[in-house]
Amino acid sequence: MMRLLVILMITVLFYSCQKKELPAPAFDRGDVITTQVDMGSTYKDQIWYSLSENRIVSTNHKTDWDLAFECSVSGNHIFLNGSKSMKVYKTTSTDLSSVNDTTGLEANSKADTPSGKQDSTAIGSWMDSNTVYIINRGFSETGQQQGYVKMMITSVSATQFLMEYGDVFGTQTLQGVIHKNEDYNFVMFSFTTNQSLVIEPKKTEYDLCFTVYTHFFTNPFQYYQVTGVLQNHYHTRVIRIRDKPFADIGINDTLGRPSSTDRNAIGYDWKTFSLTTNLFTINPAYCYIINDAKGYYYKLHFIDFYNTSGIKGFPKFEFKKL
Amino acid sequence: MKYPALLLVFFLSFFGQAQEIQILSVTDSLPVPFSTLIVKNKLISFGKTADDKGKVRFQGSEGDSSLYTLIAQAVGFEKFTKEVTGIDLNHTRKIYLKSISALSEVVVTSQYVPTRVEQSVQKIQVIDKEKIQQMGAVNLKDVLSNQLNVRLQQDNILGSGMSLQGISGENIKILMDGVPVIGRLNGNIDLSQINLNNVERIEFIEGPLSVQYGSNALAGTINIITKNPTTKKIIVGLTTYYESIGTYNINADVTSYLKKHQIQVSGGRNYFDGWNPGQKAFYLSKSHIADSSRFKQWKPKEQYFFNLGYQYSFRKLNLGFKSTYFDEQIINRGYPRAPYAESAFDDYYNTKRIDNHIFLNGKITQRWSVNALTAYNYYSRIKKTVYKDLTTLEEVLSENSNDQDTSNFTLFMSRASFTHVRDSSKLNYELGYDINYESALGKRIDHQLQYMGDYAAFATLEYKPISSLVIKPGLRYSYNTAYNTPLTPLLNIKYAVNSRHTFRASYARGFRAPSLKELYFVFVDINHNIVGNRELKSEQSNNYTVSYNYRTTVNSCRFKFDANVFYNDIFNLITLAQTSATQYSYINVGKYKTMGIQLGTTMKWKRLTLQTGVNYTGRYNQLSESESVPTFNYSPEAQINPSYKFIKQKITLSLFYKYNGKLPGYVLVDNTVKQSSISDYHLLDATVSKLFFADRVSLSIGCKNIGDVKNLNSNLASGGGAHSASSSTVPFSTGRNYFIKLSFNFSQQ
Repeated sequence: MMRLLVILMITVLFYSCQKKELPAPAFDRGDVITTQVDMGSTYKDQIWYSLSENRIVSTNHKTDWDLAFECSVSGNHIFLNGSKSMKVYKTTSTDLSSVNDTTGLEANSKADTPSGKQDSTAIGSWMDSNTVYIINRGFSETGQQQGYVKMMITSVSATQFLMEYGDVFGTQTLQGVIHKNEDYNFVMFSFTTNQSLVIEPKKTEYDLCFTVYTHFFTNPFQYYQVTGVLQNHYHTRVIRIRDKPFADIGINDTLGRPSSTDRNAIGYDWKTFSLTTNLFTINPAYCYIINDAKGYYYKLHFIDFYNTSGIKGFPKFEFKKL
Repeated sequence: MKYPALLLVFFLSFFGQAQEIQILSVTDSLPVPFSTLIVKNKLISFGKTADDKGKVRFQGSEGDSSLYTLIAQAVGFEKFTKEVTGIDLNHTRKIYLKSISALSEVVVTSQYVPTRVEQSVQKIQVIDKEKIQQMGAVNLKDVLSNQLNVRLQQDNILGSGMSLQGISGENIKILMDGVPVIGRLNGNIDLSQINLNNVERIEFIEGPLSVQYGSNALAGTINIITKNPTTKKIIVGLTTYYESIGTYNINADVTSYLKKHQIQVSGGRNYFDGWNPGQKAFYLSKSHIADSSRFKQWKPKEQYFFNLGYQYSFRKLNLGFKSTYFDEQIINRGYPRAPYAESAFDDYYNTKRIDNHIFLNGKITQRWSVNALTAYNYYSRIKKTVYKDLTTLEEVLSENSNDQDTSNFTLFMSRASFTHVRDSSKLNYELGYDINYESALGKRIDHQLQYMGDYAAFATLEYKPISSLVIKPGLRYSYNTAYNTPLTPLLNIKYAVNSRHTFRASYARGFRAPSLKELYFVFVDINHNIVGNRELKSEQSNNYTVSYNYRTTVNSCRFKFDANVFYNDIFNLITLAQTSATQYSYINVGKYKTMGIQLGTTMKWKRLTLQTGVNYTGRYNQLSESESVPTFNYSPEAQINPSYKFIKQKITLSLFYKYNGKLPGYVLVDNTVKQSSISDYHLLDATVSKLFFADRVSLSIGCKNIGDVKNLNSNLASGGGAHSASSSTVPFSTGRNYFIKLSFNFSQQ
């Protein structure tokens, strides 16, 4: 009896070790191109990418610019840099020097519609009632407030925008000139360098932009910064496919499915953030067919948001020309 | 001087000869050290304390044949009275004390001197070693699962939390031999980290003890008393424990007693290999391919612990120290990541507790006792996340800023109370101080590190206008470096009509200091702006309790009945709220109330013990301030614990049953009020224990959670019938499982 009990005890003692795992088999991916881009773990960078060339066309820091001015001859729309969570408040004042504080900004400020529709920008149709805008320049990737600017557009022509602006709390008024260039969708302007600059590549040279942008959540309404993909405004279309595995998607799937020109047609929701695990998970059912400006079709899906060191901000995707 | 003769006797005693009396325990014939002996005759009356061998000497003269009354008393024993004639100088007279039955235990929490439960002014429940043993309880969570008025919650990363009288865990003070347990995550202490291998009993007090124990002692206090000193030369124990869900525990202890010195050493390892619903009982873990089975709802866990204690007894004082080291590692193996299941994120949570304290307690003079403690506690929790390639099993430390996290808490505390107790006096009192200096280190604490010092003085007094009535008021004043502290009053009244009927009433103020997190939290990024509030006041409560106790013995059946009514009114509740358009902070806005009634009986008849209880607790519905919903949500609980002993066979059969009623609630969804609930559940454990080989080996076999409760349903009932109900489940327990516990105990006189 005693012997039995001792044996029992020893069994408990020696059975209780952490068991080693055995390696899992690798998945056969087939004939696809795999690319990973590095936005930084704080998503500080905007990455402009071309599918046909499988190359990053350009990369910039997201705080490099504030406003994007439409470059077409008739263009008069102005977009905010949503990657910084910029907001704008249209005052009723028509005198730039009379605006000296941010009263009303917090309660009434707006961001651009995430779809990038030209009729739903936060600045809106300034030509109808031209008043002073108070701009919250948003935050850097470390949460650093970028300042407040007051701004008024003085004119737009086929070749340039003119504006007056200054620090809300300052006394100085500056003039800004933004020259249009039809090779581009937009030319940007920075209130840091007080210069217009080229950030977005030529409109025929890229398809996708990996960036943070401002999303609207409803119920309750809330602006929220999300990390994802915006597509080129210029002749690029996206078909969303949720009902077919990536491997089975072919050219026939371009038929009978709606395509979207919304800039956030790919958006951020190909991954989900779990508050319980604090991790992003790829949604494998989210696949896309992208029709680029040259008319080619590509199927694409995301396979990761982390690099092999486990750092987030590294969207990884597979694509194949159809 | 009333009796000049008394003086004379003492004077004579230096020259006369001595009568030796030894006080022993009737159950094991072991001496009862430091017991008190009172010797009386017509002329004299004096008391003496026995030495560590239970021996007392008093002087007498040869040929004295007067009638003496001997009264022997010791904590945990019944009072012994005997009349003897004359003094026998040649023999040691032996007195045998009967130990007090399980129906009346000795408690120390908030007492002037160790006191029998029924004599305590405050109502105290005791969970004794026997119950811990019979339940096969490994940690505090296991044993509290059978406690009335306690609800447990489970988070498989943060651990096991509890609520008491409907009040959440941040308002419950947990003490280990009087030293606060630190390391609160989201306000809760992980109950599964408090091992019971070295525990003598648990003193469980509902209602505030803030006067003596300060912050957090608002809803109640749990004081865990580790094993008592022994008088055996050496005791060696070894225990192994196995649960069919994959728990393998082993611990050992050695206690040695040498004259006035006593040393205790114990240590052990608990290992749990993780569990998923649907896993078979008696499943033996083995090496497995790193597929989805690697993810466990209940995470694998490994604990190591080591205790060292030393006590030196001199005069009537005990001086010593206790050290505890605890290390826990939880592995959260991640689910293989979509789409290709080739990698996963694994989290390692490592918790370390190092607690040291020195203590001094006992009698300084005949009237003054001291109970002093100085402790330094260290707690750290390190979260480490690795990215694991499942095809190669290579691990890389993840470099995301939120994936690696360290929290450190330290507490330096010193508390001493001096009590003036004289049995014959109508007025006894206690004066004390309580110093707590704590630090918190963490990523989201302003400047990463913050300190808080709390310096308190307290006093209580026990006034007995007549022998059946005790009135005990108390007051605590404290100065805190971080916030303004409240003055905390207390009033306990106990009225014993006779030996059967006892009434108790109390009013007490409880408080919970704002935590360092609530004061200094900083979490600002592009989407969040949550900051602590340095202007916070402490949460406070008014607690009103009335209880009635009836006890009787009819033939050989002992019977006890308890009724208890309580009301808690918490104000200045610390709540996270939106303080500006963009910022969230902690503010003192909320209020919360609970009330309840509890009835219990204990019956002991020959070999059968039967304990039953019911309670009905109402929890405040905060929505009732703005919506037309009931002010309180009520929920019942019931408990039945029978146990039967076969004396000859040394077999004990026990059942532990507790019913936890449905917890109703109301929530606001899209501005409409909806009913919600957490489902009810039954917890039933059954155990058979047997002693072998002259009680040296004990074997327990049992089944825990016979009702197979796994997840609790949390339902959001439909409001008007048009909306669909949504429900979710919360993991609560690992389902039905079987355990076997084997203990070896060897001792030498």
